[in-house]
Amino acid sequence: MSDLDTLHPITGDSLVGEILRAFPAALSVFVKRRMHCAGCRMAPFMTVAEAAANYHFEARELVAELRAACGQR
Amino acid sequence: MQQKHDPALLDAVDVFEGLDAKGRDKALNAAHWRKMANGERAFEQDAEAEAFYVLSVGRLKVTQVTAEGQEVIVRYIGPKEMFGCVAVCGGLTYPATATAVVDSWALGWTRANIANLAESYPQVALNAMRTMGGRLKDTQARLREMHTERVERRIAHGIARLVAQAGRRTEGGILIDFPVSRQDIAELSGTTLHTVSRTLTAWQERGIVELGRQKLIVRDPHALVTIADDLPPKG
Repeated sequence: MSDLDTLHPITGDSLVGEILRAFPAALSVFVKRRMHCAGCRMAPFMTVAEAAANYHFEARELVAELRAACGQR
Repeated sequence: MQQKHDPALLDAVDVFEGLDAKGRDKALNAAHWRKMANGERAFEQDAEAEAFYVLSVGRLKVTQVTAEGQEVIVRYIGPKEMFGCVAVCGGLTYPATATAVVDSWALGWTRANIANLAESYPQVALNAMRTMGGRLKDTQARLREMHTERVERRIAHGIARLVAQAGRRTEGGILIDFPVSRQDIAELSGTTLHTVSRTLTAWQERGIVELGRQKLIVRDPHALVTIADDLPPKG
C-alpha cells in the first residue's frame, strides 16, 4: 500500500514505484529527463535519490519537479 | 493439517475475483491444504492434472526437462499465485513439474471440485483463462529473448524477473528472498552454469551483484537494467 498523498509529500526516500502508482502525473517528469523508471522492474525497490544518482541528477531538483507535477507544494 | 484457512488469501487470488461471499465460502470449503517440504514435488510433468493450487506460504519452481535431460526453469511461483492451472480445463496433463524450494503450504482444489465450482460460478473458469493468457504472454516474451538476445542480456533479464517476484530492499541492495543458485540462474536464462559463473563473477567485480552461497543481492539495480534492456550507458 502506498502512503503517498497530499499529506505525505514526495521526498528523496520515496520509492519510485510507489510514486508512479500513486501519481500518474509523475510519469512525464521521468520521461522528460530521459529516465527509464516507468515500467522498470527495479522501480518498486529504488528511491528517488538513488534514481537521481544513477542519472547524475540533483536529488533535490528531481524531488521538486515531482512534487510540482503531482500537485504537492 | 494445522494451517488455518485464510479467507484473505482468496481475496488476493485472481482466479476467485468477482465471487460473492457465498462463492468464496464454497470455494474454501471445497479446498484442501497441502504441505510441501523443501525439495518435494507438488506434481510432475506429463502426469494427469488432478488438482490446481494457490500458494499460501513459500516458493516453488516450475521446471521442464528437455529430451536431453537438461532442466529448464519455466517460472517461480510465489505466495498468492496459482499453479497447476491446466487442471481447471480438465482432461490435460501438467506441462511442467512444480517443486518446493522452501517449505511451502498451498490450498488445492481437485478437478472435480473446481468443475463443480465453475458450474455455479463461471467466472472462475474465465479468471483461470486470463491467468493462463498472462503466463503465455510471459512465455512468448522469454521465447523472444532466447532467440534474439545475447546471453548477458538473458541473464540480466532472468535476475530482473527474480527481483520483480521476490526482491526485498536491504542495506546492501535488493536481496532475492529465497535460496537461488548459479545453476538455477542458468536454467532460468537458457544458458550453461559455466557462462553464468563467468558472467556473475564479472558483474560482482563491477559491483553490480553480490553472490553468496544460495544467495544473490543486486547491488546496482540500474546497471543490471542497463544490461537487460540494452540502455545507453550512464553520463
